[in-house]
Amino acid sequence: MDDKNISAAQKVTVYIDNIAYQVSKENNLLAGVLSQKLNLPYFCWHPSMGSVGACRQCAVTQYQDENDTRGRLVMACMTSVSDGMRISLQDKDSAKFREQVIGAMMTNHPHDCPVCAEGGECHLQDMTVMTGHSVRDYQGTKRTFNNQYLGELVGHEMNRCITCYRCTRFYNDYAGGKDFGVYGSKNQVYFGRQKDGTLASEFSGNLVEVCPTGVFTNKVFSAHYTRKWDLQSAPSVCAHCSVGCNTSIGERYGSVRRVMNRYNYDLNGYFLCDRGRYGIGFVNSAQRIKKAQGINQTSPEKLTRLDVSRALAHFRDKRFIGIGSARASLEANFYLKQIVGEDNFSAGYNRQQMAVAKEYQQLLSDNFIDDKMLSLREIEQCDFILLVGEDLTKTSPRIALALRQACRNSGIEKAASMGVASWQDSAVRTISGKRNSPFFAMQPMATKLDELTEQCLLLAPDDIEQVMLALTTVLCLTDNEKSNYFHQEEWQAFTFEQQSFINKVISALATAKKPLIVTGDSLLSAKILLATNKLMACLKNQATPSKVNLVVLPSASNSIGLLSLIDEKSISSEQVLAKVSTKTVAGLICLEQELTVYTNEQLTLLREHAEVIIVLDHSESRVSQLADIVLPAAAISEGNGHFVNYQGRIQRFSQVHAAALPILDSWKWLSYIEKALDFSISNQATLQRKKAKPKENLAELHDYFSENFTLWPTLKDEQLEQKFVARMTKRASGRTSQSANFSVHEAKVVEDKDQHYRFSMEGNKPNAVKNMPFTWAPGWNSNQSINHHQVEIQGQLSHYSDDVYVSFNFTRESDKNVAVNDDTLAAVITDLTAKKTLTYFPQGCLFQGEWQSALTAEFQLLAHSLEKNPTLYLSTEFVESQGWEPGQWLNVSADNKSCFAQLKCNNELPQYLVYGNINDFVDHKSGLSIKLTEVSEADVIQYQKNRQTHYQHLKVIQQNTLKQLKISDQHIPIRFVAGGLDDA
Amino acid sequence: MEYNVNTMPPINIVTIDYKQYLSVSEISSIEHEVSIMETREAAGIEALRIVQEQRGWVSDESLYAIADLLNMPEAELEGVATFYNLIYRQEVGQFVIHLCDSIACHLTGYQQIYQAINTHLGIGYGQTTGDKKFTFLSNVCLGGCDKAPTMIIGKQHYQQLTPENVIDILNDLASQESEHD
Ligand code: SF4
Ligand code: SF4
Ligand code: FES
Ligand code: FES
Repeated sequence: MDDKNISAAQKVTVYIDNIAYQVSKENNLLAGVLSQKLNLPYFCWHPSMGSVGACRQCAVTQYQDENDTRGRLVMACMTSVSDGMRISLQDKDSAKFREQVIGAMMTNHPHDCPVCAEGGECHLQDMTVMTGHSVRDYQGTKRTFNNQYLGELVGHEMNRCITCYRCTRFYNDYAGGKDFGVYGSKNQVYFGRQKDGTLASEFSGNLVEVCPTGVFTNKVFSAHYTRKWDLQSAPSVCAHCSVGCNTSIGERYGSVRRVMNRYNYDLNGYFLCDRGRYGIGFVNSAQRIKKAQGINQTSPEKLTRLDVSRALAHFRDKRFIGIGSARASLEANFYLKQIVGEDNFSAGYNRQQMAVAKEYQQLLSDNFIDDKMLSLREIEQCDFILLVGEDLTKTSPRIALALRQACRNSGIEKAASMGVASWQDSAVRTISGKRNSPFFAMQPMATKLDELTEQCLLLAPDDIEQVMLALTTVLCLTDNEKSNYFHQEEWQAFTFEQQSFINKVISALATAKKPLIVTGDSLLSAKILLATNKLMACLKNQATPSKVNLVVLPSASNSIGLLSLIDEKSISSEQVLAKVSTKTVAGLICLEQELTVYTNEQLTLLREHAEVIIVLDHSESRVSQLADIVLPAAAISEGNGHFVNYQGRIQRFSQVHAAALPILDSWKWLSYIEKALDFSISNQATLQRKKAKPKENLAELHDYFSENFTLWPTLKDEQLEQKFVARMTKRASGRTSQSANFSVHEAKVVEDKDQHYRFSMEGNKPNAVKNMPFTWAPGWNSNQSINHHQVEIQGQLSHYSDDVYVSFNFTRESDKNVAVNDDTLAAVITDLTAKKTLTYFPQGCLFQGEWQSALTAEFQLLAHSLEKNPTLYLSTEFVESQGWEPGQWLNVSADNKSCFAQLKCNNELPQYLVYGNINDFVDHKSGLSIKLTEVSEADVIQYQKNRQTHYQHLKVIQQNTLKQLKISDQHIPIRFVAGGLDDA
Repeated sequence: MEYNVNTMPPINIVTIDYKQYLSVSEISSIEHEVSIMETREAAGIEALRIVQEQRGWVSDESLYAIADLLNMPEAELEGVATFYNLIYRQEVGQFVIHLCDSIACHLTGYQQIYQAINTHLGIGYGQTTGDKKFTFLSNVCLGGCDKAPTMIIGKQHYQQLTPENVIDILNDLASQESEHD
């Protein structure tokens, strides 16, 4: 379904209870009925996973023609639609049948809704009510099961299972999980792992939404629980990678409780990754900065704007360097750049990263002038994939899940050729067998997607570049030239595997209908980006049958927003150091930036030379600890702003609740700083700023931006959305008494200056705005209520309006390019794999790969899990040359750190390439020279003991965090206005 | 859910290498089955049968070893193993009694047969006699409804059972010296 609305041509007329409806013939009858917003209960069917006909819940009566009065029962999800088809939902037979199906399911269900975390948003509850099965008539015993420990994220309560098979169909079939299964038969069917243990899939959290009952629940949410109807929610955007999945964050009593998927047609659809769902825990962690530091507070009650001005008065008219960040909002980064001036703006990137940024910009401006980069949904439609240098399952997990679906296209096509529709899930899977669309990958470490590839090369970044260049060369050659080239030394230098890789890619490319090349900046290799650009240029001039698509993935939620602000004047972290050391500037403003680029020594140097360091952040970092002034910034759930996703799509995240002051949006702090410091000597000639005044809300801020700065992308939908939509559900309970322990007077509703949403149960219905705070429809309390808000099942949202994109038109004169004049650059970007030293590349880590989510207590536990050992993969050749044995432990040292890892062999590895999952080295994405030494058994035993102690320590932190949250439930911060410092 | 840090499991990561665990003949019979299947994991059920024939039942270790040999997830193999009621995932006695408890047998005296076995051996469903001779299991319809009540022991189908002849059958088996084939 390519188009937003399936065109009329694809529709047929279906009579449902004698009323004619226009229904898409591409999908099954159940989807057709639901698309008309009619209520037909179902369990096993899922819009993204198709039909298997397992639950028998969606039965309807189908009639041969107008005269047929008996009809026959059919399962709507297994029935295709045809023109003139006649069915009934209201006839007694099918209604009774549906009621009895629920009755049968309930015979084994424990009826424990009051203690079930699913209660109030349970699809089984909804369907039970829908079928009218309101009396319990089974008197017998029920089968019971033992539950499993499935890790820190997902709870398990098997007795509630209704055997719909959705969980395994998602976990195994859709997401490629291996450690989940279905056991037993008949009335004793068990869904879970082979034995207790942490679910290994990066997408395990989706079980919570996929399971129609309370078997799989969000364990973190259950530990600090609130019913859905008592949550205050707002639409947000995931802050943990560049995909920009849409989320809905729920809060109660001043603390964030959970994240749920928020359907987005183009991006995440129905699924999130576990980093997105559970990474929100950082907002409740002990590292949060809740008070301003370095500011003299005059009133005992609260910090005032005057206090801030006084603290900063000393630095009035001085120059500052501003360091932006890829995790701060577009607004904050943009504002910071305007305040400090473009030649004092840094992205916090070092020279190597700046070189990558430059190549990245070039790649974008050369390839995306007229087109947009493919959305996740469009990625799923591709039928050829070349993946270069990324461990996507860990860095952009949702894209990896999309690539898994893309791989199925060849099988789906085969099924189609046999007349089997794509929604016939089990038939299509049987027909496709192990058939995959052509998928090729190159990266330095083994990844979870490798199993889907036709060929996968493990290579160091430099070698990846070489293969890319050779691929480009061969592509451009005529057949004659090719045979010539194949005899040349240049070609002969490649291994046989590399040569056949190149040839296979070229031949698969020739027949692909929608080919896709995916790369990114994980390896911090400018060369790979450049080689990709060359390849794309060559492909454009080729007579390939289909246009080749390119998707480039950066690392963070607002990487592209930040990239759009980097220009030829932006300075590298080295230049920042130089400017500070020479006292060209008074100090630094670090915007949500932990400055991982600096070594400890560099950081100390920075500290010594800077007159003042101002840090705006939500959590303690190595920088906030050195700062003179720390201003507590709003975390994703507490602020408003926009992130720019990998496509350049600008997406809004909205405040879920007003955090206790003085926590404020970074851009609000920046407006105070702007006023207090009065940067009138800032050397921006273009800038004729009006008297700066603090901005109350995003709309004012945007007005201010567009009046003063031409570069600000106009966010058109701003005006349209002043709709005052309720953040709470209609039945939110206890609102009038929640702060009764302070005062029996009912607290006034917090006034929101942003006019989109209200901190109240009163207001417009959720779908009055483009971004719904939560999903609900009458009779549909679970997230599956989204059916009611789509134009068509699995289609666009009915209240959607187009997103705005940042323009990828970067400066293209090469001499003006970022940092290219820097002499030392060449030295910096020279690859580490100078062949003879062991170079280690970290496998991605879902739980540690992103700074904010890594602060989540559960993620700490998962990253330091005792269920698996840190492992180091070496080439068999190298291991044998050292006389080592797989399974033995080694000491790995580099970068002043050393740790232990268990050795494993990988035949595919080139001799000096090493990869693994060692926690301490997870940040060294572009490779790290390591030394390996043998260790004694006693050392290993001691090491394992230390690991256990550390794990226990982390477990205690997790429990204390929870305890704190429960205590703070008793002290709800009261705010009257969600505005600035002096408002409340 | 509170988690007691003191009862945390020690680091105990089990990996089974099939070469160390399975016998050469087991491996070669399984590989033979693999050779006639389309995919390796398709040989799962046969592999389970082969190992059970040698060892009487399929232990966790056996399951992991077979999964390792067939290069398939253990969860998937467990799904196969637990689906078929003739694959035993717990230790069983020398003779496994599968007594039919479906409708035709119920109508023709299943209850008395159950009682007879239960009293004679002193075990109920799911249990094994102390001498490891007999394990007692229920089974759905064995397809012998016209000669009900019925049961299966080993490869033998026993029909038209009475509380008397069933004891004779058990006594006969108990007195057999050799192990079942
Ligand atoms: S656990 Fe949930 S999703 Fe899985 S079969 Fe049972 S009810 Fe369905
Ligand atoms: S981390 Fe990335 S893939 Fe995962 S939910 Fe967030 S945006 Fe989506
Ligand atoms: S939804 Fe149709 S049979 Fe389950
Ligand atoms: S019911 Fe026992 S054999 Fe059929």
